[in-house]
Parts: sequence; C-alpha cells; structure tokens
Amino acid sequence: MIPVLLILLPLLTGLVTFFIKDEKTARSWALLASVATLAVSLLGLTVMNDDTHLSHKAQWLQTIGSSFSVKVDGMGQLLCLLTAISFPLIFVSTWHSQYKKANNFFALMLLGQAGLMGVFVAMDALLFYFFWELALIPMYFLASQWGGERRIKATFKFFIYTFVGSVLMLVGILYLQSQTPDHSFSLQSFYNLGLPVRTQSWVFWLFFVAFAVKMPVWPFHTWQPDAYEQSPTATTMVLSGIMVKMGLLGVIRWLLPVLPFASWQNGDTVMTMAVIGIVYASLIAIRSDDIKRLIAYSSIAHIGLMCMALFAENKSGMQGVMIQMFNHGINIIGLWIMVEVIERQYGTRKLSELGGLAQKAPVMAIFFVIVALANIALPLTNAFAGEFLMFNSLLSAKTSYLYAILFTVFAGMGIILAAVYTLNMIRKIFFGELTTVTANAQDIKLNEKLAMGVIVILIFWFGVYPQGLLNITDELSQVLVNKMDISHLLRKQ
Amino acid sequence: MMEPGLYHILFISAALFFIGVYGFLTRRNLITMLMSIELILNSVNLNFIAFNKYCWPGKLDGLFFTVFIIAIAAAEAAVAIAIIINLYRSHQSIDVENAEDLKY
Amino acid sequence: MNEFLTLMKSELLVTAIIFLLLFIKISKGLKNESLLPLVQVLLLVNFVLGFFFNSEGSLFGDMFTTSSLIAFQKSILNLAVYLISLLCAGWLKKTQHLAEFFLLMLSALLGMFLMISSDNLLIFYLSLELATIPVAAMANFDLDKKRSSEGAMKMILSSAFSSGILLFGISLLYGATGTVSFNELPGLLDGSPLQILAFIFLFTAFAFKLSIVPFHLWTADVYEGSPIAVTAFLSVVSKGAVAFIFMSTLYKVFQPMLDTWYILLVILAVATMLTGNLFALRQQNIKRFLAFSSIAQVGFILAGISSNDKIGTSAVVYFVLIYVFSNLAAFGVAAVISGQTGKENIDDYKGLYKTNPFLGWILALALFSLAGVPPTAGFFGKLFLLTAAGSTAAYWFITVAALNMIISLYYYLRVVRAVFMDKNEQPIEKIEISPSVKMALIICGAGIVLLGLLSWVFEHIESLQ
Repeated sequence: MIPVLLILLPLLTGLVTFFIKDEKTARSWALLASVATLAVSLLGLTVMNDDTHLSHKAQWLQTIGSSFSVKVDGMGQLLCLLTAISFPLIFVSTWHSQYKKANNFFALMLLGQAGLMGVFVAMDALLFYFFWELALIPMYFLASQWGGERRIKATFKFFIYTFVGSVLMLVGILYLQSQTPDHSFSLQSFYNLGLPVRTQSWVFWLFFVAFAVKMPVWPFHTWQPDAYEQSPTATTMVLSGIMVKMGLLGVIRWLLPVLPFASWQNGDTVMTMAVIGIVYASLIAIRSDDIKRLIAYSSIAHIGLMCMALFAENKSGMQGVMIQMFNHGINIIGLWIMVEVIERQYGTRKLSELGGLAQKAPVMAIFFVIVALANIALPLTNAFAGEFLMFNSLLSAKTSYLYAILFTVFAGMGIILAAVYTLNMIRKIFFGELTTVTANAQDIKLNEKLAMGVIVILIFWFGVYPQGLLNITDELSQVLVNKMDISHLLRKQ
Repeated sequence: MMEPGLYHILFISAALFFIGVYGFLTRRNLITMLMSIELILNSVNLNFIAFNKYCWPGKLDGLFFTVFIIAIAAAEAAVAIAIIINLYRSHQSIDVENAEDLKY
Repeated sequence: MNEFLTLMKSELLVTAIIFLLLFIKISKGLKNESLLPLVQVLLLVNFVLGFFFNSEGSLFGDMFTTSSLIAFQKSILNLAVYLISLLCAGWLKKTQHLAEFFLLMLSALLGMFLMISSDNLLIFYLSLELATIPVAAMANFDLDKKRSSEGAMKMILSSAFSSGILLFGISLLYGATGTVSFNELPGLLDGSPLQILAFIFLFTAFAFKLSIVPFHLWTADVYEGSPIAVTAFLSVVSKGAVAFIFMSTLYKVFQPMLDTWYILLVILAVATMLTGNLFALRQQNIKRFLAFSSIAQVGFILAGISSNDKIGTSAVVYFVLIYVFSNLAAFGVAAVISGQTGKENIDDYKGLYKTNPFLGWILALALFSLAGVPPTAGFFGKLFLLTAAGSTAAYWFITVAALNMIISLYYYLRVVRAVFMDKNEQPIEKIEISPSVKMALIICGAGIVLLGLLSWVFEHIESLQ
C-alpha cells in the first residue's frame, strides 16, 4: 500500500496541478501534496513497516512476464524518505521564486517526484525502466523551459546522454528477461539467473553505461555541469540531490547482485574510472569561479567515491553508500538552497564578485558553513559515518592489496581537495572585502531559514546518531553482499 | 520446323518483362513509361497463359488471372493518364525531368 | 445468406456508405458544411459496428476469409479513417469535391479490407489495386498545385510498376506450383530456385508498398506533394493494411521458406531504419519529415515480423494501433496548422507552444510516442516489437534497433525543441480549433497515454489469435 501511495500521490496531485490557473494556489497545493507524501513515507518508516504494507503486486503486461510489483526495502526507505523530505524543502526554500506558467512548473516537479519514487520501489525490471524514463521527461521540460540562457543546448545534451544509456539498458533488460527460465522481468528471477561468465561481461556494460551516465561517473559526466548550471535551481536540487541516486540504486539493486561475476571482473576498471573522476572533478572544482559549477563538480567527486565503495563489494561499503546517498542528498540540497539565495539576491554566482557577506548576513553564513562542512564530512555531521564506512570498505576491497591502497590514497586526496575548494568558497563568499554587489546585502528570509533549519537539524541528528540509518540498511546490505559472493563460481573454474 | 513449346514462350515473356523494366527505368517520357508498364503486364499475361496451357492444363486460375489483369491494367492506365494530363496542364510537359519540384 | 452478411459485414458497410455518397452526389448533392458531419457520423457508426456481429469463416470457395484478429485489424483501419475525417476537417471543408474524395478514400479502404481478408493471390491482387489506384487519384486532389500532380504521378507509376513485378512473381509461383490459393501454396513450396525467385519478386512488390529500403524513394515525394489528409491516409491506413497482409502472407504462405525471408527481413529492417532515420535528420518540411520517420517505423515493424511467432503478430497489430494514434496526432497538428496558415516547415513551428499550447503538447506527446519514450504508448509498442524480435535470439539486431531509437529521438526532439524552446519573431498566430478537431486530437492524445498503460489491450490482441 505504502509504495503505491508514494507513487500515486504525487502523480495524481501533479496532474491536478496542471489545471490550477492561480499561481499562489498552485504553489500551496504542490507544497501540500509534497507534505502529504512525506507523511506517507514517514508512516511507512515507523508505523506500517511490515511486509504487507510495504509491498504490493498487481497484474501488468502479464503476457511478456512483467508485473506491477513494488516494494520498499531498506534502501527504498531511505531514498523515498530523501525524496519525500526534499520536495517540501525545495518548495519552501524557493517559495519566492517567480515562474512563468507556475502551474506547469509545479505539476512537472510533482510528476518527476512520482517517477523517482517509482524507480526507488520498482521490483520489476520493466517497471523500473518505465519509471526511470518517466522521471527523466519532466526534468527535461523543467530544465528546458525555466532554465538559464544556454538551457536548450544543455538539456538537449542531458536528454540524449541519458536516453542513450537507458536504451542500452533496455537491451540488457530484454536479454536478461529472455534468459530467465520463466521469461519474467521480476527482480527475483534476475537474481536467480546465474548467467554464464562470458555473457555477463557485455550485459554488465549495457547496464553500467546507463547508470554511469546518471550518476555520473567520469567519462560519462560531461552533461552534468552544464545541466546543473542551466536548470532552475529547484530542478538542480532534484537532479543532484535525488536523481543521481537513481544511478547508484541501479548499481546496487540491478547490477551487482544480478551480474556478480562481471561486477567483480570489471570492478577495477570501474573503480579506476571513478577515482579519475574524483581527482579530476575536484581539481576543476578548485579552479571554477561559478558556485553552481563548483558544487556540480564536487558532486561528481562525491558520487565517484560512492561508486568506488560499491565496487569494493563488501558490507561496510554497501551500507556506507546507502546512508551516504541519503546524507549527500540532504547536504547538497542545503548547498543549492544557499546558492539560490545568493543568486537571487545579488544576481551573480561568481565567487570573484562576492565577498564579505558574513558581516551583512550572519545567519546565512552560519547555515552555509554548517552545510559546507557537512558536505566535506566533518565528524559530528551526517556525512561522516558514511564516508568512514566507505573508506573502510575501500581498504578491504576485493581487488589486490596494492590497488586497494592506491585507490584509498587517491580517494583520500579527493577529500583533501574537497576541503580546499569548500573552505576557499566559504572564504571568498563570506569573508574579505565587501564588493559592490554585496554592499547592500540582506540576510535570508524566513522560509529559507525554515528549510535550512530542518536541514541543519537533520545534519546534526544523523551526525550524532547514525545508528538509525544503519539499522534500516543493515539487513538489506547483508543480503546483497551475500548475493554478490562469487567464491563458489571461482572455485568451479 | 519445331513446335513452339513452353520454353519459347517463357523466353519471350521474360524478354518482354525486362524490356519493360528497362524502358521504365530509362525513358523520361511519362507515356512511354506507362507503355513500358503495359509491356510488363503483358509479359505476365503470356506467362500465365503458357503455364496454364503447358503445366497445369486442368486448372483455370491462370486464365482468370489474365482476364483480370487486362481489366485492371485498363483501369490503371485510365487513372495514370488522367494524372498525366493534369500534370501536363500544370507543367506544360510530360517529361519526368521537368517534374522536379520534389526532391531531397 | 446470413453467413455472407456477417462474414462480409465490414466490406458491406463500407460499400453501403460508398453507394450512399454516390447517391447524394448524383441527386443535387449537399454543401460541404452538411456533408462532412454526415460522413463523419457514418464513419463513426461504421467503426462502432465493427465490434459487433463478428464471426469467423471463409467465403467464395476459400477466396475470402475472416477471423476475430482480421476483424480487429479492420477496426483499427476504420478508426484511422474516422480520425482522419475529423482531423483534416479544415482542408476537407475547403475542397471542391468532398463527396468524391470520400468515395475514393472509402474505395481504397474497401480494397484494404478485402486485401487483409484475401485468401487467394487473385483476390489479393485485385484488392491491392483497389487499395492503390484511388489513393493515387486522391494524391492529385489539389488539382491546381504542381506538387500535388507530381506526387500523384510518382505514386501511380511506382505502384503500377510494383504491381507489375508482383504479378510476374505470382505468375512464376503459379508456374511452379499450379495454384494461387493461400491454403494450398504452403504444401507445395519446397524452396526450389524458381520459387525463391518468385518469392523475391513478391517481396519486392510488398517492399514497394511498405516503402522498405531500397524501394522507398517514392514515399517522401508523394507524402510531401499530396494534401495532408491523403498523406495521413497513406502513412497510417495504407501502411497498416499492407503490414498486416505482409505479415500474414509470410507466416501463413511462405512458412516453408522461413530461412530465406528471415535473412531478407533482418537486413532490410536494419537498412530501412537507418535510411529512414538518417534522412529524417535533415528534413525541413514537416510532411517529408514524417515520411522518413514513418519509413524508420516500418523498419521496426519488420523487426517484429521477423520473430515468426504468435507474439510477433500481436506486437505488430498492437504497434500499428499505437502508430495510428501517434502518427495521426502528429499529422493532425500539422493539418490544423497548414489548413489555417499554409505553413509546413519545421522552422515555422518555432515558438508554437507560446501561442498554441494545446497543439504544442499534443505534438510533443505524438513525437515522444513515435520516438518510443516511456510513458507513452509508443514505448510499449517498440518494446513488444523488440521482445518479439528478441525471441529469435538475434541480439545484435535488437541492439541496432535500439541504437536507431536513439537517432530517431534526436530528430524528434529537434521538433519538440523548436515547438517549446526556440524563439521566433513571428510565431504561428493563435489558431481557433473547431470542437471536432479538438476532440479528435484529444482522442489521439488519450490513446497515446493510455494504450500502453492499459495492459489488457495487448492481452486482448493476443487472445484474438
């Protein structure tokens, strides 16, 4: 029941929003809808957290072996919660942004939320693919209609990139379906496949490219900075906070356990790509002057680390990534909110044109510093636990010992670089001389304080008490790691 | 003098067919192209009759087919000529080279 | 007698409408304003009746056969014709010879019905001609336009040429087997060289009609030259009907020669998709653009046909049904715009969304569906075709098809981009859409959204076999 509600609620309210002509009403309606979704998600987390409520199965396209089967598992809980929290935060924090045809904007946002929820709970490959694309289309229209100057080119690139990836994944899905004994698309049949070693490898790449584009992992990332920069900030929040998690979830749920051997085999390649991405993105982030681009590149670095931890293929990595997906989402949305405030108030995103804001806007400075430090995983902030687990997993990765050390060192370098550009950003924005742009700066407004307050509370809450997140993901990550175990396959060879 | 048999007729009809195809592809005058198509159809008619007479004398399908082809060919030619006349009105020519408004 | 009535119901209904129109035309006649609604109602009745009183059986010594699947295929065509009569109302009202136009269109439809039902090469040939010759006359319906007569000329010559080739193939087949009946042929086919030659001739003729590469050259010219109602009819109804009979001929008659036609089909499918897509990339005229996109779609249909399986049949029928909605939605929007403003270039569509949001949305839906992007029905259509093609385990083939989906997305998205994003100094002004056209567009839009999600549609088609 819960997963169906999580999809249907934003879907239906989103469709209704198309017909609300008044801007104010549409805005309030969207906020209301997203709060309702949050309530459902919390309900699923606390009260109704047993299997009867968390899974649902209905007939759908039965002739080719598909079904409408949805379930909220541990990872689903976290990601649904993240999605459900994010949207109210986004709506509240951008309360004063003006949109042309606001009803369409909010409707598309809600439709996008429905698609995201669907991706997180789908337990059937075809359904998964369906929602995967469903989430993409509203984002495309959002970015291309309400975005910045070069939006058309950027979103075109974004759409084509992701579509290329997902079409390849479709081929992979069709292949796997034809290999299952009962010609079924269900996740369980995929898990039981045990594909021959030789075919696993190319199916692996069919899937991985789709996920890699979404995450994005170097060298599939080139759409991302442009898309983030050109989208309206509310959409950027969704893209970077939630949508990149689709790729990670895909790897965790649909790739590693389904094709364990190929994942092990290609793990080194993927980790090398990810580690190049980390260093490369961090270096660019240090050089960039535009805050949006800086955060976009920092996001590539973070995701790269998560991707590495996944291919370390052990429990701590798995669990670390799961909780980090949640925390990264919260933190980066916080950062985007601040960027949005800065851009709207001062009309610029250039670090070189900003400065001395701490004198004029102390509250904003405090919030910004907290979120930024959480983003680089300072202890006592929420990201620390996940980052710790991930590094732990890298050291005990299944690759050779030398590689593990090398990867860890480079990934650690990413952390140091992250500290460099984050602190540099804080320094340039908030300290130093006032510039002409910031001379008449004001502090942030009530709605932004509200949203940031919630985020800061979450940061500290999960910083001090990560156990809550760990409990949710514990069982699932163990199950998945068991599925990825290929020692029996190796022995057979 | 040898009696003409199936092979002779088939040879003629195949020749007719390929003359028709050749004409259709090389001629630039619409009426001539239409005539080429008639050649093709007539070669088919010959084929049907010959097969019917020599291979399947007990059946009548070939004959029927021939009769229908003749009728349809007339209908087709009627529509085609109507179109060509209309084309002549607008283009003042029935040369396909002059009908070149539409191309890639 | 009773059996005759129920078995030939669809044909008799269309014939009745044809005679009614003839009668109206001869006796004084009606003004376009009153004739068009009448025809629309008649076509609607025709469509609705298509679902009742169906029976299975054959007539005229096994020359004519019908089944629930065939009845369903006929209903699809009926629906398409009805939608065309609604969507192209703007152009139809202006034409001088409305009654004649529908006479020709319905004669062609009658020909297609007989063609789908044919169980004998003779009746197949006759009905094929009945389905083609009137369309050539229709293509010339803009009598004073140079392009129209040029398109019609190309259409009639190439179709006459292709039927000549078809006939030559049939004559060879007759010589080799001594029969033209679909029921007797499969038992007599053994794949001898003569039969393969005959088959290739036949295949060529089908390729002409379906505009499979390399026999597609006439398509774009005819589509561009013809009035938009005719283009819609050609690309949806004509294509659909020929695809149906092509599939059933291959499955039923040429089953013993499976190895031959499978190879041909796969190679031509790839060539068709690629050519259609690559040429569509550079088109400026919307009709020409849709022509090449429809060539590419035919490639996908061939991929589905290549499965030689029950699921292939269902997938093709389902795809054609979806294709009717998506393509007619696109043509409908083009028809409304060209009927009001005469503009047919993609560049003119820039900024359409600003002035005509409804048309913009419908066009976007249609193009996304043609591109096969979820959640539109087009995705499910393509999905089933690919699944069907995958049942023969030709994975490189599916991969090529999937890559073609990407190319096609690129050019469909180009139009969407023009409609939604590009700026235009002089966008198309606000167009008043009449209620009937609006209704038809909404039907198409609803079809695009719902057909895929409602999985019982596909199950229904599957159960018909």
